Amino acid sequence: MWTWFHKLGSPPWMYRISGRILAVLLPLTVLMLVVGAVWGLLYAPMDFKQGNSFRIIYFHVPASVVALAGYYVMAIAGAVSLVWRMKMAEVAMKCAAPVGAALTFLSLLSGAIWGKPTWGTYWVWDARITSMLILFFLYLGVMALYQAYENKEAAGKACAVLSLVGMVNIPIIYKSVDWWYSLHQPATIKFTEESAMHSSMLQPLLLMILAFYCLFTCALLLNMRSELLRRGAGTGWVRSLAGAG
Amino acid sequence: MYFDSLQAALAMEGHGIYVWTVVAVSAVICVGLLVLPARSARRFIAELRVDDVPEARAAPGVRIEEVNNASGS
Repeated sequence: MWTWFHKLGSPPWMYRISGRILAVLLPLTVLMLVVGAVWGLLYAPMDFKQGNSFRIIYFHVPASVVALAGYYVMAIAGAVSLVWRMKMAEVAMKCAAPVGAALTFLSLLSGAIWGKPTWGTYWVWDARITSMLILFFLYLGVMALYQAYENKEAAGKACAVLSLVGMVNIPIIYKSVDWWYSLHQPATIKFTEESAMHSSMLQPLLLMILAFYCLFTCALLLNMRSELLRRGAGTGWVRSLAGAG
Repeated sequence: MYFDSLQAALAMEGHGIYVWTVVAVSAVICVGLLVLPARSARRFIAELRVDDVPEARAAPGVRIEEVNNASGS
């Protein structure tokens, strides 16, 4: 087990293994996204209250769920880089930030567009929406902080601390619809009780959530490969890659 | 299909503009998330190849393809 953990810290090994994972996961992700989107947009029945605008759920919920999960990935990677000083964890933390920011942006934008036909407005300073906006700023903050430092070791440490401090926002996002009066509807998928959705609507949603998790993994790995190449410029394994192409 | 026709699917009873806008933005973001880092890595490797050829260092305006052809890679 520990051999595997040590290998995880090796840039050439990580580059090679991520290439193998991507060769399988990338086509699977694209397939799931296309099937899930077509299923949800064209084959799922219409919601009797919200009409067809409810179909935005097939993009809004997966983006929101994975944006939150992405923050866990970033914060855990930050903690590992702080505690064990593992460079690969720092690379993962740095690379998770732009992917998480993009998905949080999609969550906010799709939510705003959905808000117009449902609530009559694009934006309200609601607890759920505001805490998601804070999540977006946290992602941007980590990206900006990393760029601000000349010394990349110090940048990694500062970003790890910011990621960990920002974790306080995650339970607030989850519980905001229960703690405060909110326009935002409660959670659609519940693990402890039966889902509020009919299975014909729920199945494409679950597929899209899985597809977005895979999308996050693919984007993270692609970002990490690019970062590993830049960090390894001048080393033998990167030069041999350039020569092999 | 839930809709009777393509027109009905596009219109979605007046909600089409909202739904299809989200679809378009999502598609752009998903493609961007996958294509941008892959392109960045490919470009970096191409730059490394240029740096490995001494003629390319002497002539900064030279195209990568020309350098690769000249070096036979």
